[in-house]
Amino acid sequence: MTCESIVPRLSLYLYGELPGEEEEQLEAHLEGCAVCRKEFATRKAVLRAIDMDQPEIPETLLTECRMELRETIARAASLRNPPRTLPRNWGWLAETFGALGGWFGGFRVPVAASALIAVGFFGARLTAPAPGVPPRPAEPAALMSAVRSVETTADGRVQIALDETRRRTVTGAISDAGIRALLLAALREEADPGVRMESMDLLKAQSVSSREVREALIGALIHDPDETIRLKAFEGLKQSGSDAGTRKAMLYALTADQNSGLRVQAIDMLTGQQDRELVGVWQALLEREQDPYIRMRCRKELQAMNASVGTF
Amino acid sequence: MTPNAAALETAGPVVERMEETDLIRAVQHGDRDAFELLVRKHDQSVLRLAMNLLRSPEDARDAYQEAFLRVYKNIHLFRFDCSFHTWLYRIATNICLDHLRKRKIRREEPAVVDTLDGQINRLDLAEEERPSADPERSFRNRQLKAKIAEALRQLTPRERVVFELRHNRGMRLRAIGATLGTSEEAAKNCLFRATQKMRGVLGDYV
Repeated sequence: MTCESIVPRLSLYLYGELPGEEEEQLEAHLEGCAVCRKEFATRKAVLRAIDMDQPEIPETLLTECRMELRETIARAASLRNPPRTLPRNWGWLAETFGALGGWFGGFRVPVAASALIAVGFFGARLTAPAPGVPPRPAEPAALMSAVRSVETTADGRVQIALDETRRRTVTGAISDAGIRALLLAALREEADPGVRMESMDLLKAQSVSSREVREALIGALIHDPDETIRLKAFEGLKQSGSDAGTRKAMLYALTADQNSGLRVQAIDMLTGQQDRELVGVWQALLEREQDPYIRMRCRKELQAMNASVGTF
Repeated sequence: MTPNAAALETAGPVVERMEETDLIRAVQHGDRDAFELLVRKHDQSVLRLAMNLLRSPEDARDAYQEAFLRVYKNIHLFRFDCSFHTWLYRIATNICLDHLRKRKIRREEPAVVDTLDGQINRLDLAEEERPSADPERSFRNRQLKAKIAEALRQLTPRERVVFELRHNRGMRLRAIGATLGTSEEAAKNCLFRATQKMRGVLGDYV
């Protein structure tokens, strides 16, 4: 190999992209050629300098990106999916909350996500009821409509598609399936944290008796952006701590929640049982967790199981 | 990586043991929970890729959204004939390439901007805010940063992407070719041109 043929290969060599034979020839040449060795050192230094100039990612950017994506997809999905079935005579109320998503998804739809246009009874007169659906009686409450599409028909008239939302008041006991379905929907979907909090307060005592409530609390524990609500969800779930799904959610909160108070509660719930399956979690937490109390609990749990605390 | 993100990575295999193939199939059947898990498996690396290439949090955020929305909309077209990572990177790099190309046309990203106090190099600003015990070293660092920015500006969008994938993401040229829908040889040529340009600009400053 000559010096001229070496130079174009130096970078590929640095990246380990040269075929084996060429690599050996290049190394042999470098050993005997000070000029090429210098060029090699310069190129290495150039790449090292570039390594030191990595742009920093703002700490909150990843979380913001995830939230934004979740909201965008939830918006798209809520427009596409019809609401799930509610108990008889309660179905119409689901419209108030949009589609009722699964707990683990918990994609919350901001109320102000789509522009709402108040059209009152004018809107109601424009939209004919679907075939087979009896017309609703006139409601004293305000009718809000969001315009979804505007088209011109073949005969020159205008056709507007509207999503309608009516406000109504319902009263009932918490044991009433319809009331509970609404509270669950509010907990999952409502953008106002005050409403979610009220719903949580009413529901959390029922996590043992109702699987549906337990799943909603798990969803709130994992997904609710408000830490007070997540703490309340955790409180509610304590009573059903032996349930596998609940333990999984608590484990998730322990490793992922930003609120250290909540993580402390989670470690208190999850340790003391010497569960061999969780050895890896305690070891990883010991390495990453910043809260000294949590690290101490992890260490104790590992020691109680005679598991390694120092090497991973 | 933030502590929270690191914690999520730890939690991943414990909380959710689904294999990636199962996750993808679940997403293809409309499971949004599975989609969220799939996103969390890959999104840190996509954000880092976008940030390194676009060097702006706002643009990186746009690229992130666009990439994962495109994945969500088109996942039904994913046929497992390449790895999901390759497919995702193909989408993400194409989006970043578009951003870089538009930027070239608009001639954005000027390193030197005019201010009331005269011309300032944007890349120096962050460094200047921090007091340094060694002003000479600080000056050299600023100079080097400005030169690196200059070197990167000289690369074509494609050279920049190939360099990023090889240098920072550690991908082999064959995989880069597959990701960009080109040959290994073409990726190799791109990498060669990129490193030559950087050697030319930075050689005297290292």
